[in-house]
Amino acid sequence: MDDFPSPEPTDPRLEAMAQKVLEETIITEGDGTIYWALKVTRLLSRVAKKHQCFEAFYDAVIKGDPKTRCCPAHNEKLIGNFGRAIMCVLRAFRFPVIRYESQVKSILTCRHAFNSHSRNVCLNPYHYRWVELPTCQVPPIIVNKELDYGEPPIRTEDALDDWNQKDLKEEQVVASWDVPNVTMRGDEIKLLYDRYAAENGDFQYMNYGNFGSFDGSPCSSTTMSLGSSFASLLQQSNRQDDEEPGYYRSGLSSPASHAASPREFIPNGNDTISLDQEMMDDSEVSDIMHSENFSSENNGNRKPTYADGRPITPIEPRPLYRSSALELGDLSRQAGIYECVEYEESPSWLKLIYYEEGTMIGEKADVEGHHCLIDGFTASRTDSETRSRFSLGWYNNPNRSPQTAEVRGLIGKGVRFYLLAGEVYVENLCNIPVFVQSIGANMKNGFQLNTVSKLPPTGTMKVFDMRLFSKQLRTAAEKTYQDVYCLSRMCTVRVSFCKGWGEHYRRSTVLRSPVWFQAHLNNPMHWVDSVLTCMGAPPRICSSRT
Amino acid sequence: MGDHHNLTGLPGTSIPPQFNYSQPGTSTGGPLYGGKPSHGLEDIPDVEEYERNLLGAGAGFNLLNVGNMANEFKPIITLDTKPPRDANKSLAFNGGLKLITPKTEVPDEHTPMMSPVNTTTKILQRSGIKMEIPPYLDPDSQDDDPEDGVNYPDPDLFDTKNTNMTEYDLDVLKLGKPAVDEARKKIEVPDASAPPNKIVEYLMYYRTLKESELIQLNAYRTKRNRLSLNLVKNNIDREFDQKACESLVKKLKDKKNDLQNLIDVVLSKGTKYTGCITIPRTLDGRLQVHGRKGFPHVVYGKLWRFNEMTKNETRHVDHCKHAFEMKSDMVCVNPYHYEIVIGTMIVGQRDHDNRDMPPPHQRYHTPGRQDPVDDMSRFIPPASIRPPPMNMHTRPQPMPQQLPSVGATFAHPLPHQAPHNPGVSHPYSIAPQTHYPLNMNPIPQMPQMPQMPPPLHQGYGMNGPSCSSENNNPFHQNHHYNDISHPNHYSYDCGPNLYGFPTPYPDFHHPFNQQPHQPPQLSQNHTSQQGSHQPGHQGQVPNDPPISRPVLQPSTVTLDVFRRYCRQTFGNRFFEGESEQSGAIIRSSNKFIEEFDSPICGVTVVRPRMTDGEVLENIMPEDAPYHDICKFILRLTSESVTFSGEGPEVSDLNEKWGTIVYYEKNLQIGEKKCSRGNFHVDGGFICSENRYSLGLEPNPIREPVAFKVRKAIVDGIRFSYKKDGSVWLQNRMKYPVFVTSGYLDEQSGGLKKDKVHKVYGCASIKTFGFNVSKQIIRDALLSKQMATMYLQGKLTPMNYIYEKKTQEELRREATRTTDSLAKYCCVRVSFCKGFGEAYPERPSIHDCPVWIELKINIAYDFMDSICQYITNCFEPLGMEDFAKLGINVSDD
Repeated sequence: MDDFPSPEPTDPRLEAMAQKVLEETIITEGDGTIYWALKVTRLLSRVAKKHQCFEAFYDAVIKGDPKTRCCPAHNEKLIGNFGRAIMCVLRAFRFPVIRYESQVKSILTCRHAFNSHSRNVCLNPYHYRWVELPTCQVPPIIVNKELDYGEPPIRTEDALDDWNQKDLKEEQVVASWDVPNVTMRGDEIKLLYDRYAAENGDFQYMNYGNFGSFDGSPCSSTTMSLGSSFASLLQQSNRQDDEEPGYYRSGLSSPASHAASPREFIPNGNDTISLDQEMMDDSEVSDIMHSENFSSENNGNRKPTYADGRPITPIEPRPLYRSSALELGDLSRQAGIYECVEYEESPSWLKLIYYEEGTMIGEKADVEGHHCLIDGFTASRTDSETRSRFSLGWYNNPNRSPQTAEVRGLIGKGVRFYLLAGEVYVENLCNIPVFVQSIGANMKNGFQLNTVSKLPPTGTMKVFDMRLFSKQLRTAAEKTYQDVYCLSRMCTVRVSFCKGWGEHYRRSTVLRSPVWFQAHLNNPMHWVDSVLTCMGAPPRICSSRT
Repeated sequence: MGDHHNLTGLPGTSIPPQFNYSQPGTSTGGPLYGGKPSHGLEDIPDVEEYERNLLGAGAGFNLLNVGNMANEFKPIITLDTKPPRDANKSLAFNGGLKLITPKTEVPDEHTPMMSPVNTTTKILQRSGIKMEIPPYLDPDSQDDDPEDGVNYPDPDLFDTKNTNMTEYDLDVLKLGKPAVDEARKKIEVPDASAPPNKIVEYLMYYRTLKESELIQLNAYRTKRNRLSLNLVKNNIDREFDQKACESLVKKLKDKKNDLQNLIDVVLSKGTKYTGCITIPRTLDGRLQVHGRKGFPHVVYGKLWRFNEMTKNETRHVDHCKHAFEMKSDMVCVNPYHYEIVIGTMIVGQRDHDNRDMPPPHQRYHTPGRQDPVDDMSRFIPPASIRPPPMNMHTRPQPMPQQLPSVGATFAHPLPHQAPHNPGVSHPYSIAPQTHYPLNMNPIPQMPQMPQMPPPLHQGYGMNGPSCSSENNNPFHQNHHYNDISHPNHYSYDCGPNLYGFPTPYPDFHHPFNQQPHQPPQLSQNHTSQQGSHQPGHQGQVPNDPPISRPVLQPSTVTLDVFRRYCRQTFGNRFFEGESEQSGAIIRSSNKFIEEFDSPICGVTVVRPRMTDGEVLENIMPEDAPYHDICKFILRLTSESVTFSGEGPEVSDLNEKWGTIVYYEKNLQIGEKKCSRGNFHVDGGFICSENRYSLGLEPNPIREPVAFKVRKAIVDGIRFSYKKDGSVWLQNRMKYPVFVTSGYLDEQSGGLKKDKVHKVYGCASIKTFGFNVSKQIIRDALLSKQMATMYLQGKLTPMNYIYEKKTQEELRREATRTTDSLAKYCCVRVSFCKGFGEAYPERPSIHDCPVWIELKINIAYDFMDSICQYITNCFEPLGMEDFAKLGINVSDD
């Protein structure tokens, strides 16, 4: 219960700084007024004054220039729920959605470079930069157009039915009413950043050692020396990739025995190197490094220069695919037989469809930008250009049931979708669990494919894994049209608030959930579509018996 | 003139609907157009069905229809630039549209497909005969009726309230479309040098039929099932019109130009000549015709343009140089220089609506046919109990208490029909008066409540002998204003009556009844006029019984007190621009019934409601219902509100300010964002930024009734987003729209929730006010947070109130959802079809065939900011808290 406005007379400098506090932060963290911004500014100024760097801090905030001086101070814990000083600074002035310290890096000119173990930090918010995770680069899919791709897809009208009735071929899934449940514990976004920071920090260190120059873009300069050192890693990952499905099926996916609550699943942290951990990490790291390789060596021209170890087609086994880019180009130039389908990214990556039980409410909403908030408040949808926020409270439904209304009241801050490195993560910001059904995550974690994961408050999980998807797509592209078509369901994520469904719950299907939405990942879906287009219509589509 | 033929939507086929009474028997069978009972939408033509019949006959209809559409929307496109012209056109346009009603009804007795033979000659005969028929036909005469014993299909009757038609139109209707030329030829257009009687005859031919004439027509139609003008000829209104017309022609006979202009104006409905037509002003500005006095522009406006019009609801157009209000020596009587700008709405009491009566088919085709005299008496209410006609949009309907049989079905018991005087038929004229002397207060009249100037009343008085009772009773009138200064007596007076009311507080009146000694004490204490809001109340009252007023429950506070607590707890942020004291000191007059509501837990709000039958005019006391818009209200009764037609300036911001969602029944069909200040919703097919054309929204499973309503929308409605954040609605159709919004609920006073406001054609109404909605949303959300904090065991200023509340009440408060407040951010409009408790077949708007919902962004955003504030600045509720609140948070 803080009183607004403040009793003490406000310093004009504080007010000037408060003007600089980001609008989005004021809305999502504060109360939407300048008073909150003033309060934050005052707290931070106190810290700065204590360490005699207020002038520098003021200067930095007002000018907004990385060339301003450093503001060394202790990384104190602020009163209230403001967290540590540096997080508060960054959230207020730079990055509204920052969650972890590992999401930022000090710029190279900062003399008090950030170190999570040190008490001293630089409070200058412009001495930090956002860690841009390199986009997960995936090789194009090669389609052999001479093959018969089998039966045409059964295109049902309702995508929901399709989801529940059919599933990927390689998994023998039980009937749709028997949807297993797990509870996700852990924080996969943090995992991602920590892992990246750990790896990248090393490289950066290497980089300093090698070149001793500050070019401000360590990403581009890290990989020169990596070529050979990852060769073994690559081999390893290739081998492990081959045995990955089998491994998961035999390992973690044993069904839960206790009926009352779904079993828990904790994604691995980055501190222990267990067997599976090693495999996962290595492969991912190698992937990342490789993508850097591409971007630095080929100026972003994506060419598959590393192999994933699988024969592309029955006709052209491994050797061809594993050969150089030149040969690959020849291959793709064989007119009409092989075609390369590359992954393309468009800025509109997410489409949200809001449902209450079986009814679709409102219209489909497209999202641009790298994160998207779905909350329970009632913001109007005015800013359609820069829309990154969807308030479910805004939607009216004439047929709303009381239970739905109740759940809608619980949503609060909702969930946030992130697009990080070309992959999609979900963060639960509200105080109730959300239930996520993502085939990509299930496949990656080795669950049954239609498993519903319970994501407790503050939890994050990865709902779409690009590498896994591209691998699946490549495999499917060698098989039938139907296989590829099924993969479109990997590009769909369902999130239900508060109420779960599946075998441990009363609801057998998501259509009974009071408040849920479906997120379509446009880019991978487009990829699937392109591959299907390349495959062409299967010949049997003309049969009169179809 | 030409456009209304297109507007009818009738195809110009070679087999026109024709009137033929010589072969009546043939018309009873077969797929008769219009023979199907309509569903309470009598005034909307069933063009649909007509088309279907025609298409069955292979008529080339579609192309013609397209042409019609093009014609229809010309005026719409050109509308928006000049508002006065705009209104003018739309009125003229609607006047043309009116013709649909009767015209499509004609064929139901003689479908062209049934009797295509020998119709033309008959018509000729008939029209020839018609001129010779004696002027009056007694519909009830039983002698030698050649049609005796013939069963006609049920006639569709004119909507006497809303039909604007001329004698010429009636002829056109009767003769059918191809005979239009004949009708026109019948009375040729004279020029100014023609003999005056020719001119008068011509001018009378184009006069607007009055309600009493339409009623006569209907009566005759009911009896004989045919159209007749002859009945109309000896109508008293017609005589008056005739005299007025003669008088005008006489006055203009020296000014041939003006006379010619008048003829042109009448013929072309004001389009051919737009200048003034003036007559000299009389001393008092009024005109004596046929023993009645009237204002010239009203008399002539009614003669040629509107079948109902009163001075107070009339505005002249901008380009009129000699308008009546300008007080120049000459008065302009060009009927197209005056517009009716005032809308009226009636709080949806279906009992007051003539639609409430069963549709004509049921009325007149009951198996055991009633005596015709009964039918007539039901149809034409006796003049003595008819309320004064107020304007063209609404005529206050015969009130239920005046028709005791209807009154029994009135939505809620009338407070004055208390057991102690059950026999009072005009309760408001007797019951309050008998109490006045007891409560006469020596305090002089409040300066801000000046007495009403009497001429305004006489303006209404000229419309007929049927004045309302209070106008005849100046004594009564005076006392309203004396009594305003004495706030408390009324609640004592009506206390026993209120006791019979269903209120949410069964124990509410107990203190009063158990302690009969209290009221005298209080009536001596004049400070208690502020009692209900208790400005000095400091919150330590838990032990004090609320002595100030018997109406306060011991465990509630007033809204002002609650808001002060909120300021203490949550800061001033959401109270910016509001003074600490709301200043709304309740001064009840006897015109209000105070009802007590508790919108939020532990807070009592006084919601004044107009006493049935009382009228407030021109000056609204601050505590009246609709106080937010009181400066725009001319007249207020318990059932109707008359707006002055003014409003704040339209916003010129060029961003999206709302979203309109279009529903049919409970199916969402489409949505569109509103931009620009004025946003139209119409039935057409235009893609435009400031227009949502419902015609563009397909629905494959559309119901027939929705087709009908969508056809009737045509010009639709207009939402105006004003600079103060309010949203006004103007109905540009002929048919009513039914509006409900949280704001109107709040403003209309009284307890009943989800009130439906019927907005008649051309009327406008404020449907959303940002400041009021903001307060409601804020109070509700802060109260929710307060209750939540109390349940979390924190200290709040409301604790002493909450301690007396049951756990259940507090839980309900703490689990209030934003969904329940969404209605304060929305305006819902149903086209043509009413809903609510007066319409049993459509209890809620979700049952209406065509309705829209306007969501207003600023309201949602304000609600959002409060939600964010509460979520971010207070301890969030966890799962356990939710569970404690009784919410089922289990993920079962």
